[in-house]
Amino acid sequence: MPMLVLENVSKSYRSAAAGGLQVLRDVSLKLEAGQSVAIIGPSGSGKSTLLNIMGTLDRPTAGKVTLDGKDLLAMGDRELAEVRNSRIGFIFQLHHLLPQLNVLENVLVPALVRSDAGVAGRRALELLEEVGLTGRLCHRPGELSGGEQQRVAVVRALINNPGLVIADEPTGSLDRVGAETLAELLVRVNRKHGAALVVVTHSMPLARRMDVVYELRDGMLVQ
Amino acid sequence: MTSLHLGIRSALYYWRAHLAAMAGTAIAGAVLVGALLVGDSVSYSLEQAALSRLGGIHYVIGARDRFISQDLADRLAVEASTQVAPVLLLPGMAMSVEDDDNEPRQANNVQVAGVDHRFFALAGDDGRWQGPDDAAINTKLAALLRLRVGDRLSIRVGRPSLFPGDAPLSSQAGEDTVRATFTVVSIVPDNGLGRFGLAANQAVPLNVFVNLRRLQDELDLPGRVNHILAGAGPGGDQAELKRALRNVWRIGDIGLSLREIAGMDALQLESDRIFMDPVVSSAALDSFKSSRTGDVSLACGPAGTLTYLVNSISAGSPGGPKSTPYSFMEGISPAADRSLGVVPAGMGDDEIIINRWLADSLAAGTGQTVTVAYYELTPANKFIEVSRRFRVRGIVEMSEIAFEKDYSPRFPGLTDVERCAEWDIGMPLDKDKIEDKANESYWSQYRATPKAFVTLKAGQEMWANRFGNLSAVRYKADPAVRDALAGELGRAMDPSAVGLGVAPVRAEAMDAAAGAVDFGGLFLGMSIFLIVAALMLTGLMFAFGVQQRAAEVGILLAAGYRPGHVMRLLAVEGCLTAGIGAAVGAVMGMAYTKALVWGLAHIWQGAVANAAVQFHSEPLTVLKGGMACFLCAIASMGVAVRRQLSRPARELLCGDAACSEVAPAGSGRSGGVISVLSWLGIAVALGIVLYAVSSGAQDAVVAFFAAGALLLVSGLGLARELLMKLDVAGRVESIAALGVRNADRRRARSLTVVAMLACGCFMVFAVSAMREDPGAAAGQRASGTGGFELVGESTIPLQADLNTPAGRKRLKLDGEQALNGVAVVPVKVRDGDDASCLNLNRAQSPRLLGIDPGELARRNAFARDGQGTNLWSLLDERLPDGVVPGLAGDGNTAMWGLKKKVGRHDGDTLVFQNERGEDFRVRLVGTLPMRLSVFQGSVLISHRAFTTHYPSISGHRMFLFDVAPGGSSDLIGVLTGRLGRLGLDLTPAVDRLREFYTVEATYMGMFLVLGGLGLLLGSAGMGIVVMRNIQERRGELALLKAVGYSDSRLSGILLVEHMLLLALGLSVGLASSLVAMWPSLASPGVTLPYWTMLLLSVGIAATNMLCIIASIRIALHGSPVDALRSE
Repeated sequence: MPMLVLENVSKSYRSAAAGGLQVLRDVSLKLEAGQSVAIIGPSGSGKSTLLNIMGTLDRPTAGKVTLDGKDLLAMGDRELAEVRNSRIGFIFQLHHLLPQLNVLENVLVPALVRSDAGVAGRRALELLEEVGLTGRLCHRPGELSGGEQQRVAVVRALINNPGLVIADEPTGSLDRVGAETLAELLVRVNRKHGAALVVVTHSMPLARRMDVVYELRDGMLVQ
Repeated sequence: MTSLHLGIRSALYYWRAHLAAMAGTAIAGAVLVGALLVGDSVSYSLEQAALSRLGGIHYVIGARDRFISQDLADRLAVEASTQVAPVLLLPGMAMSVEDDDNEPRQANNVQVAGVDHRFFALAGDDGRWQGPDDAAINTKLAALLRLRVGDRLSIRVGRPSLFPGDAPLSSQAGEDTVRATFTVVSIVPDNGLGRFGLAANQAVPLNVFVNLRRLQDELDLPGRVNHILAGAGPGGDQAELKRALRNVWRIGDIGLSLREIAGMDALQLESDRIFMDPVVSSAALDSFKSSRTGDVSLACGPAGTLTYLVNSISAGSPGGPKSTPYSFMEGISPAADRSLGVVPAGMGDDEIIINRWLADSLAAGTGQTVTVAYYELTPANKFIEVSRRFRVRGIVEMSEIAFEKDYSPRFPGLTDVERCAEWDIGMPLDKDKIEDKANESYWSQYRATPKAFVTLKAGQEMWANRFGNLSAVRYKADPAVRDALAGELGRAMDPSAVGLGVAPVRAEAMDAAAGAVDFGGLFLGMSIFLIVAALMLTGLMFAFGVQQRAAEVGILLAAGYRPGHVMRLLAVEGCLTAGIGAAVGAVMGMAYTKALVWGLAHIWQGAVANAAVQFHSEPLTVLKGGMACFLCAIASMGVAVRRQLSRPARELLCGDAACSEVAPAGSGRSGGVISVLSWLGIAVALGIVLYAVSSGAQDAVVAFFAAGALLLVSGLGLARELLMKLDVAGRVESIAALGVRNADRRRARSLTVVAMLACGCFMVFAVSAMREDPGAAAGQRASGTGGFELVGESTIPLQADLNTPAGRKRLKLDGEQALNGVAVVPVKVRDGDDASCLNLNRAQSPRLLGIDPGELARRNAFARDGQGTNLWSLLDERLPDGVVPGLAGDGNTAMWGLKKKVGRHDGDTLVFQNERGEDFRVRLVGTLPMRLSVFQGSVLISHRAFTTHYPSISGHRMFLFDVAPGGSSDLIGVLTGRLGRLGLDLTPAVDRLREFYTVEATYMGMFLVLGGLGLLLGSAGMGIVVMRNIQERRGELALLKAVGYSDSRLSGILLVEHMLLLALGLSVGLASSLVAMWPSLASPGVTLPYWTMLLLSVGIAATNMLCIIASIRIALHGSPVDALRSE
C-alpha cells in the first residue's frame, strides 16, 4: 500500500480582483515508503502549495490525500498536529532554527511534545554524529555555517523517526559545495532510515538524485 | 529540556524585545498599585483620625438635648468597672478678648466641652486638669483666634433649659446665651485630644475644654451633664455596659422626682421637663395597677394628670357673654378616691367639673355648656386656637381642691411669678385679657389651682403634644415608701428608651472609616485609562516581539505543536515578562503613591477635604495590585498574540509576516456581522436617548452615559467598516489615496490605535464637559440654591421667627431696613455625620433637617418647572409602620455620601435614634433633583416628623433667605452683627455650592491629569505603531524610494495613513462623549466647554502628530539599498 496518496488534488485561491486563482489542477501522486521524489517547476507553479498539502500545513480545495491509508482531510487540527509530529519531518530553505537554543536543543524541539524525551535524546546524539555535528552540540545557530544549520534542520526533521520527510528548496540558501553535501546527506538519510522523501527544488542535480522527478506545469503534475 | 525550559530560554534570549512590554506592565502596575495604596493611605489616615478623636472612649450615653445626672457616671464606673467621664458638650462660640496686640475675633461652631480629670484620663491625655478659670483649646482654634497660652478667651453657649424651649408654656424670659471668660492654659495638639468629637468626620473641630463644674454653674445646671463617656471596660462589650447601666440608674438621673404632697399621704411623680414622655407615662401608670407592686403598696391606682393653660373658658358658645381668660385646667384619671383628684369614676369625656370661683364667674351651673378655647401647637411651632365644648357635670368647692395648689406643675416664668401680667411663656397672650382684674385676683389667691377638670383622656386629646402626654402622676402612698416607689419606677423603665441609650461610638467610628470614600477605587477609576493604555501597549509590544519570530512559531506548528502548546510556551515568556514588570511596577507604585499623597496634600487638597493623609502601604494590597497587574498583562499579551497563533504555519514560515498577515482588501470574516451590530448599537443608543428625554427618567445621567458608551463601541465598529471600504482595489489615484489604503493593511493594529485614542478622548472630553459654574444658574429656583440668595447657619438656635415683626423685635431687629422684603425659610437641625463630599468617612447617622414642605413647595424651590408640589409633598406622605419619608440633600449625597438608593417605594431606609434613644427609620423617598445643593450632606424630613422625634430641639439653626436684589451685603452685615452672639454665619448660597463643587472640580482635575497621562501613553503607542508599520514595510518603502519617490512623498503617504487613524479616534471619542455628557450640558449652569474641548482636541492631535512625524523621520532614516538587500 502506498504511504502517501494524492488523488485529483486541486487548490485555488479566491481573489477579489481576478475572480479566483487555480494553483493546482487534479494532481495525483502515489508515494511508496522509502521512495524519493523530486518536484521541480518554475516559480509560482504551485510547488510549495503542493508540498504544504502533503505536509498537512494546507488543505486542498478538492481531491483526497491519504497518509498510511488515513484520510488527512477528514482529520481535525489536533490530529493533524499529531500526524505532523510523528509521521512527517520538514526541512525548509531557511531552516528556521531557534536562535535561543543550541544545536542539540533545536534538534529536540519536535520531541518536546512527545513523552519519549530520553529516547529522543539518544537518537538526537546518534543523528548528529551521523551528520558530523557531534562537536557542535552546544553551539547556537548563529555560530554555525549555513550548511551546518541545514544539517541541523535535517536532523530535526528526523528526530521523531518520520515516515515522510518533506524538503522545500533545501539547498536554496547554500553554495554549490554545501548544496552537494546536503544532497548527499538527504539521499543517505533516505536510504538509511527508510523515510520517503519529497524534495521541491530548482536544482536539477539534486532532483536527479531522487527516484522519480515530477514537474509541475500549469498546476498539473507530469513525470 | 522541557517546555518550561524552552520558554525560559526564549524569554532570556529575547529579553530586549520584551523590555518594552515589561515597561508597559511596570507602568500599569505602578499606577494600579499606586491607586490601591492611596486607598490604603486614606483609610489608614481616617482610622488614625478616628482613634485620635476618641482616645479611650468606646461608648457614649445620653443625647445632647437631654440632661442627666452627673452622679450616674460614678455609679456606672463602679458597676461596670470601667473608666467613665461625665461631660457637658455644647455648641458655642469662642472669642479672643481684645487687648493691645489683638483685635477681638470670634469663632462660631465651637465645641465647648465641660470636663473634669476623668475625661482627660479616658481620652488618654492625663495631666491637663483644669482649674475653674482654665481652658484648654485645640491648635486649630488657637490658630483661628491667634491665641497663646496665658491669653484670655471668652465662650458663649446657648442657655440650656430642662424644659424644652419649644414646649407650650415654656418661658422665653432671660438671656438666651451665657458668656464666660477663661484663661488659656493649654493648647492641645490636633493629632490627639484636640481632635475630640463624637461625629464621624475627619475634619478637626474647634474645641474648648473647660472645667465642668464652672460650666454647670454658669449654665445653672448643677450636677447635670448631657453625655457620659465610657471606656471599653473589662468585658468590653455594649451589652455589659447596658446591664451595668440598668442596675445603677435611677429615675432622678433623667430629671424625674417624687414630691410629697403635704398632708395628703400622696406622692407625685414630676419631670423637670414638665411634660413626660409617653414611655415614662406608660411605665408610671401601667406598672402600678395592682395594689402592691414589689415593695410598694398603694391605697389605690395612680392618677395621671395633664395640666394646661387654656385661653378662655366661656359659658355657652365660644366668646359667650361670660368668659374668663387664661386659666389652668386639669385632665386627670377618673378615680373613686377623691384624694388624688376630683374627677370621679364614670365621668364622661364630654363632661367638665368647674370650681366654685369659675361657676360664679360664668354663672354656670350643672348641666350647662361651657366652651374651652386653647392653643394647639403645630409641628412648625405655630399656635392655633381651637375650642371644645363640655357639659358641666358638677361644681367643686374651692376648699375641696385646696390641695391642687400644691399639685400644680411648676412652669418656669409662669407659676413662679406674682402677677398674671408678669407671665412669660412661649404662647401669644392678649395683653388686655391677661390684665383681667378678676383673673389677677384669682391668681393672687389660688395661684395655679385649676378652674376646671376633665377626664385625662379628654385632656390628652386637647393638650398632649410632642413633648409628652402627662404633666404628673399621683400615687396614694405613704411618703416613707418614696425610695421604694422610685426604685419600682426605675425597674419599670428601659433606660435606653428614656434618653440613656448607649451608642458604641468607637465601633461606629471604625465603621465610618472603613466605609469611607473608597479612594483606592476612586483613583483606580480615574487611572483606568492610563492603566488600560499601558496594558494595550504591553500587549502590542509583546505581540510585536512574537511577530518578529513568526517563523519560529511556524516551525513549531510544522513540527506538530498544537497552537495551545505554542501558546503555553509563549505564556512562559509572557509570565516572566509580566512578572518582572509587575514586580518593578509594584515597587514603582510605592513611589507613585508617595507622589499622589504629596499631590493630595499640596495640589488636590479639595479631594480629601483638606484631611491630612499619611502614606501607608499594606503588603497584601501591594501583592494584590501586583497580581492584578500581572494577570491583566498576561491577558493583554494573550489577546494580542492569539491572532498570531491563529495564522497557518505556512504563512508564518514564509518569513514575511508583513505580507502574509495583510487582510485581503475589503475582507473581514465577520465584517457583515460587525457592521450590522454597529448600526444596531447606534440605533439602540439613539433609542435610549429618546426614551430618556421623553420620559424624563430620573437616571437620565446613567442612560446617556450608557448611550455614549454604546456609541463609542459602535463607532469603533463603523471605523472598522470605513477602513475596509477605503481599502478597495482600483482607487489609488493619488499618494493620499495610497496612504488611506495602507491604513487597512494592519486592521487590528490600526483599530487598536483608534480604540485607544477614542476611549481616551471619550473619557477626557466627558470629564471636561462635566465642569460647570455653580453660579451660572444660581438665581433660579430649580438650581442647587433653590433660588435663595443667602444661607445662614447659627451655632445657637434662633427661637424667634425672623419673618414676623414680633420675632424681629425679640431679636432686636425691629426697624432694620435691611430686612425689608426679606423672607426666610427656617430649618430645624439635628446634628449628625456630614454626608457631603467634604466628609471622607461614610456617614453613619447623617444630619437631619426639619423643613416645612409647604414653604418650599410654594416657592417651587429646588424643583424643576412645576414639580415643586410633587417633590415636597413626598415628605408629607404617611408611610406604614411609622417610617418617616426623607429626601437626600442632593444627588451626590444619595450616591456618594450615603451610598443609598432613593425611591418612593423602594428607597433604602436609614435608622436614626430619636432623643429618647428609640430607633426610627427614614426612607429615602427621593432626592433633590440636582447633583449639588445647599442641603448637601443632609437628609430632609418634614417639620412634623422632626419635632415628633426631636421635640427638645427648639428653634431653628439653618435659614434660607429670599432677598431683594442688591440687599445681600446689607443683610449679612446687619444679621451677623446683631446675631453674632448666636453664632449666625450668612453665606451667599452660591458660595456654599462652590465649596461643595471644589471637591468635584478637584476630582475632575485629577482625572484630567491622569487621563492626560494615559493619552500621552496612547500617543507613544501611536508612535510605536507607526515605527513598526514602517519597519515592516522598509523594503516596500525602499522600493518606492528607488523608483523616485522623495522622502517627503513617502512621509506624506505615511502621514495620511496614520492621520486617518488619529481622525477616526478623535471623531468617535468626541461624538460619543457629547452624548454621554448631554444631561450635564443640559443642566442649569453648565455650558459646553467649547474652548476646553477644542484645546484638548488640538492638544491630542498635536501630540499624536508629533509622535507620528518623529517616528516617520526616524524610520525613514537610512539607505534604501540596505533595505532592498535585506528583502
